[in-house]
Amino acid sequence: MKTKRVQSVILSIICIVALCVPVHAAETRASDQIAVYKMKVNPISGAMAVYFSVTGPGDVDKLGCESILVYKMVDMDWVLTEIKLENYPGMSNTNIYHHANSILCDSERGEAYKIVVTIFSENSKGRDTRSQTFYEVGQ
Amino acid sequence: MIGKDDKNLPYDLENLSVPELEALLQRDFLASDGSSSDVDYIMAIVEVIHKKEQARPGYQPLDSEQAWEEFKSFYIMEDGCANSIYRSDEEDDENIFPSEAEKQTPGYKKCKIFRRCLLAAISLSLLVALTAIPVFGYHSIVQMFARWTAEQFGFYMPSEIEPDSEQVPEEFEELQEIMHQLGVELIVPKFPEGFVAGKPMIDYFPVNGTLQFTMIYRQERDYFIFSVNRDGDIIFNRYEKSDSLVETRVYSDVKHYYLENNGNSTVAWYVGTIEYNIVTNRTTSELKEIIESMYNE
Repeated sequence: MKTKRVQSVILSIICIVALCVPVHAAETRASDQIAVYKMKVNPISGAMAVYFSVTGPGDVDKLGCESILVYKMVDMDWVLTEIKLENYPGMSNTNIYHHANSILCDSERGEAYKIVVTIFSENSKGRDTRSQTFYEVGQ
Repeated sequence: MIGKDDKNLPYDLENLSVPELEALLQRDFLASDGSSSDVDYIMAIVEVIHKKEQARPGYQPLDSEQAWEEFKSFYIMEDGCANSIYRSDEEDDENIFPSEAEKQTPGYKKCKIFRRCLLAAISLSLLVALTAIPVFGYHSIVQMFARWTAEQFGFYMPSEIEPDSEQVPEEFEELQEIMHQLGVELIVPKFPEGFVAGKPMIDYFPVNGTLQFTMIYRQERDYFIFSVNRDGDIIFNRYEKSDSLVETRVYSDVKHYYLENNGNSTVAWYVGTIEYNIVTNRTTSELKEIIESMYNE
């Protein structure tokens, strides 16, 4: 009887917690700076080809790729091996409504990589970013 | 009829009443003290008792069938269980709840552990299922398959239908040439009078297998941004959107999606391997007019 009571209490707590999480997590995130975007990574011989495309709601002050962080798996740990920021040639453009490009990052054949790509757009209302993480193996 | 007294002397049984005769029987049984009784003596008493009962007024012969039924109802049926002088099988199987000794057996412990583990696994699965949906940004489990959230919209499966070709404006000639090389027909919308086309932006990245065409039409502070995208990896654009629902319309068997994003309107559709979209700060109804005219010509 006591065991059943304990189980009932545990299940009740789980249900209460489960109901609370959706209320907390459901936040509106539409953007005043970004309308459409895409990111992808294609491994090629000796490199990772990072493609990004950003379209703003009309002309914006600056938009493009804010950063590309390349991590390599070393001894079961991710080690940062390369960084490219928004001022790197081809990463961003100013006073424009759209920017797309493919940026090459070094890679070694057979090694595991984690690539974190962040795009951005900036106008008078502020700056907004979106990130995606990709896992690839060097070719 | 002659009986016997306590000193084995015969005496007249006819003059005794039935209760007295029954008392004699009982006394004889006790007096025998486990040794064999005097059968003749007992039979004599029984005969006299029977004879006296038959002589009584209102006497009815014993109904053996009725007596058997009464016996069963009194001793054997459920109401008569309490009267039973024998232990029932149910009493022998009374161990519905295991005894303390049985609870200590390995088999019982294993069963208990298994049930607890199963209950914990079910609870955990339920918790993950309930929390994973909103954490990944979905409103419901159906959206996990449709990839349609409150914040973003994206195509999940392309349609196989390609529209009819039509003559394209000059600014699309380069794009049309590339599309022809890829073996794809190009759809070009017509934008309202007064909107001036900007310089087209064409990005073709063979290493990524992507072709991106984007062009803006401006009229003072208003704009239409028309984009054509082809991705060899079938990776689609992500469209920022507000909480409002995505509206769909079908033209020439092609589903078009209209969404809102903080005062801007977007329409997106997919034909064959090509993804199209138009972003504008004008209204959704104007977008619908542009799309409808595109298919009505």
